[in-house]
Amino acid sequence: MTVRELAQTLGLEVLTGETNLDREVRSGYTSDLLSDVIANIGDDAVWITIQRHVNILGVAKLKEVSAIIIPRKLELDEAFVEKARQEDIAVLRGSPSAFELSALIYNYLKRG
Amino acid sequence: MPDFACDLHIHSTLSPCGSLDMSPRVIVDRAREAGLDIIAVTDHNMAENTPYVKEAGEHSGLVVLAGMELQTREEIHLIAIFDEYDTAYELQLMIYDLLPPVANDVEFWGDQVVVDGEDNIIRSEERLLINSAGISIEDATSWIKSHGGIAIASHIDSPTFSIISQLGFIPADIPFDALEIRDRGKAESFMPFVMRKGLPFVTFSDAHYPGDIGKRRTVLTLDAPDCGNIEGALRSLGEHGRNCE
Repeated sequence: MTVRELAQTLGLEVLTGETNLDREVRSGYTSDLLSDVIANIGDDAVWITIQRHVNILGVAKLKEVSAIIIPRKLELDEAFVEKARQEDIAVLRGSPSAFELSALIYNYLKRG
Repeated sequence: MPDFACDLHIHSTLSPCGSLDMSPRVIVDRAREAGLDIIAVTDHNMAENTPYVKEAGEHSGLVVLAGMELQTREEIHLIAIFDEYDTAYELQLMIYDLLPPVANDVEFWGDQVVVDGEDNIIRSEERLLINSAGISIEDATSWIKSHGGIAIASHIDSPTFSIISQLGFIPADIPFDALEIRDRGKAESFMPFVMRKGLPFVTFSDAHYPGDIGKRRTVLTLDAPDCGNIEGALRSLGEHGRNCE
């Protein structure tokens, strides 16, 4: 599944335009502690987090995440979104909580 | 210029995790015994005990600055110091509105009480203060700087509630005046995580109990004990090798 398909399927808002939408998604990880994400996120993973500081983009880049997904329609700074675009990282946002998003995405990925 | 022994990170009865023994009077007495010259009471997201500590301190010649330890939405602790209580109180009003309206569980967290200079309880704060306010670390730091305050990232060597535990490294563009470190021997090992060159390290007690006041301190050479002079002293500390002796 691609980031674009995931966004369409789950009705997630894409904040970074066309950035990296055709990237493959094979797994996901939900955590707000950067060191935990660095240690444990898998390959081709979407990262679900409520952290919205630009430093998380460094971790996203380091771990080559497929996309960052922000739950609960949380507000994002324009500077964050702009930086994500520059770094070629897709940022999606949805209304469900991190728990619900994790469950939904897990089920879609399982289904293949 | 005279040297001033500073402990600018002390909790009082208004912090739920602070001992009920930490009344303004006890803090001032203990600070004097410990040989401190300047202190700041920095309760979690509150500044309201400051005037009572200031009042108690004035009788003994201790300089008391107004302060607060904010918790930002990234769960980073940030020390704010001001010359005037009015500015700290303005920050308290703003932060209070940005705190979730969750009640404090006194049994679990402890009391949060405003206490005057004679150990009388003035009021009890009902809202849980150990919580994040809905403000980013950048915006909180900028607010402090634009209101003439000193902004210091708390205990950067702590595994929780520190800018490094939460964000991995310290971005160059946040206008901190200094970084607080508990173990000054480890300052060198944190340098790679500090993106802005010349940002000084300081150490304070983060006291929650009277016996801890002044256990860690930073000596600053100042013309006068106010925020403007402290800001300048910290800047020159940074330029001369980040020493926190």
